[in-house]
Amino acid sequence: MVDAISFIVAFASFYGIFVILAVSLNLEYGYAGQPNFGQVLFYGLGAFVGAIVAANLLPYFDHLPIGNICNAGAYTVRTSIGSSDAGISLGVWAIALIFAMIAGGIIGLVVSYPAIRVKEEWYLSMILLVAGEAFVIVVENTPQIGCGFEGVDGILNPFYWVSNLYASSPFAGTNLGIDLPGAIYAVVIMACAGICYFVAQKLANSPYGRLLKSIRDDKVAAESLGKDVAAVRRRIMVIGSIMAGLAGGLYVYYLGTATTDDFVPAVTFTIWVMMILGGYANNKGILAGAFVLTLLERGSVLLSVIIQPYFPTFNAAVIIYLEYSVEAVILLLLLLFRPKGLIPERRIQTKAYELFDFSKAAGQKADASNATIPDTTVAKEQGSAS
Amino acid sequence: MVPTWLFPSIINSIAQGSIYVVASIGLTLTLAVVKLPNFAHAEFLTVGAYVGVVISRMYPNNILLVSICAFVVCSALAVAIHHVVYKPLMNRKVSIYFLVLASFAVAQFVRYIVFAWAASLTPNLLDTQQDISIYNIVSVFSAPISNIYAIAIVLAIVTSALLAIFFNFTHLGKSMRAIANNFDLARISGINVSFAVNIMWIIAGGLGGLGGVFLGTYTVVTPVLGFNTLLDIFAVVIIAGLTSFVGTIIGGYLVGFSTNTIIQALYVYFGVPFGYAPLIPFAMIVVVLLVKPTGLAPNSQSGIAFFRKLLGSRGNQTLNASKPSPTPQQDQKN
Repeated sequence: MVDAISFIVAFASFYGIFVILAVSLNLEYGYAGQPNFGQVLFYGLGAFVGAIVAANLLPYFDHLPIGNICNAGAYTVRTSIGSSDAGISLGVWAIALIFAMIAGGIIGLVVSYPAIRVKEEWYLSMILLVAGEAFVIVVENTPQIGCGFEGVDGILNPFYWVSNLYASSPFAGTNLGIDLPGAIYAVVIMACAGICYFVAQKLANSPYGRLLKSIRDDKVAAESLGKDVAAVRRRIMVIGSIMAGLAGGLYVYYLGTATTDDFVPAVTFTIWVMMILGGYANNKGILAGAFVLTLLERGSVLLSVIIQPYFPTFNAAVIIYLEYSVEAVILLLLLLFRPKGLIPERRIQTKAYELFDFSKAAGQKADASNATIPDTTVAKEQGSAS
Repeated sequence: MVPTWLFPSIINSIAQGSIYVVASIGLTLTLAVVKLPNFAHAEFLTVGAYVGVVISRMYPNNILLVSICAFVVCSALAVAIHHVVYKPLMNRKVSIYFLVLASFAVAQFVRYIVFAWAASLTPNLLDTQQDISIYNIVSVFSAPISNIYAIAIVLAIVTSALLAIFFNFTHLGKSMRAIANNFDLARISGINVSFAVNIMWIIAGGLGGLGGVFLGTYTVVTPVLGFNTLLDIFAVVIIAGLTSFVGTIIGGYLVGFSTNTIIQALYVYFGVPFGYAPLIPFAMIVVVLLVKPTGLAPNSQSGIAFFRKLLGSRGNQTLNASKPSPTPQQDQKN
């Protein structure tokens, strides 16, 4: 029971974070055609900026000296404020998230400068990969920024004070409140993911989304129609990076620690598998892809914990390693046999397409979304005529 | 007054540069012939290093046997990867992103299979060393040169020279260049494309494995050994302009010097921490890709011309024929 609840909470939190990351990657690659192999850079940046802002602001708002955020005293101060003061922890959380998003956006803008200038297409992925690795190296070797290898820890869940409240409430003895702060925070993460999904969906189905797709499919044609390709690519990079920064900020508050170990290129790879599995340029597919991959990842962690007592000599980390290879195999199978993913890219849904249901006219099966539209007489006539 | 750290550091740089050359010349070959930025190349290093661990446990200090085994295993792995993954994808002419992504997937697969294998053994091999003893054979300016370093330096020179000769003067090498220029034309003109590409993968994978053996002799062998050198290898190849063997040698020594002598000088004079060493090759990658994507090395034509000059006038006619002479075009215009 306890295991099940904590599994669901962890699953929901990770799912929300992965959805945000995958949606942002989908905007950048699926719609705009920019292969971002450095997603982990923006994700990690959001996490570290969020952690550092929180570590500095928590004592500041409580009128305590800030001092060095890395030593043990600062850690105690942070955790005590986080577990007692509701107003300060929520306020600092919001500010930290905003800073994480701003940092992601700024670095996205900076990185997009070389990104839209490289000659060959894969040079961009190379540069972003390098940028992600360089970020890890700089953070690890510069203790002034994020406490070096140790990382910034003691960033409590913004709803941690709920557990104190709960302990003094009449329900205190029951099983109800297991990991209550975690559960509330998981709901908040899911809400953020929902917002990101909504924004991405709106962007993708607007004229802007069509512009992105036109640039992805034929840059020269889009440019010859008077579109400022470089500006559009820069903008979408910034939007995607803001989302990734938000995911980083949410993640560091979920985990409580910002260390460079969590921001390795394997994370970027997982997000790519999610996107390709779901079907790129398709936000619904992203939800499915992220679900499968999160289930795989959390499931392997759970499995390794469960079987360890039964096989004491067996190194349970093997299961997690094998899970990573399974991810790679999934991606290879997809690339080889189903490159469009589980749910292939659909035509953009605009009013014109809804009114003159061209897919019916061409003799194809109509989309479910089109069937709900009341005024389909034109389409029916066209269908019967053909 | 020469500081005392300088000469040992230069020797280190040259030796490590040689290892980088051996490790990355296979990637140059891959990029030159099939135009594939093979991010799984670094995994050949890991596998090679682990083959070195296993073989050297059985037969200690036998570096020749270890090298041969690593070469064979890694070339078999490379050919298998080519046939299972790259060949079907290339036949479908997918976009370069999909190939890059597929090579990432292959790399991740191999890396974590090695992880799982190494972790499942008791005692586990996640953090191990090859059983090859290192001893100093000569000293130059009071800087010792170990046996591994000596072999690596010789190996780098020999392999790059042999490859350049192979590429420019043998029939198979020339057919590889033809494939690199125009795949379909090469096939139409009767070149056995699949045979040549197989040979290419054997050489590329095998040399990667050799590089891994030498890298593994003086560092700790872990499953991320190759992955941690991936960007260094790519730095070498990008500095080389992606396809030039001469460039690979230059790039290898540049990266070797930057991760040893240059960072040490920066540390001594400016207090830059050693952990920043990988940033120098990274900066090189970004600058080269942005400013001069053809690389810092002299281009491949001048490299070929250099070797031609070195080895006599044989084959000059083909060189001249391959260069379009300007006069007929002018005539047509007039």
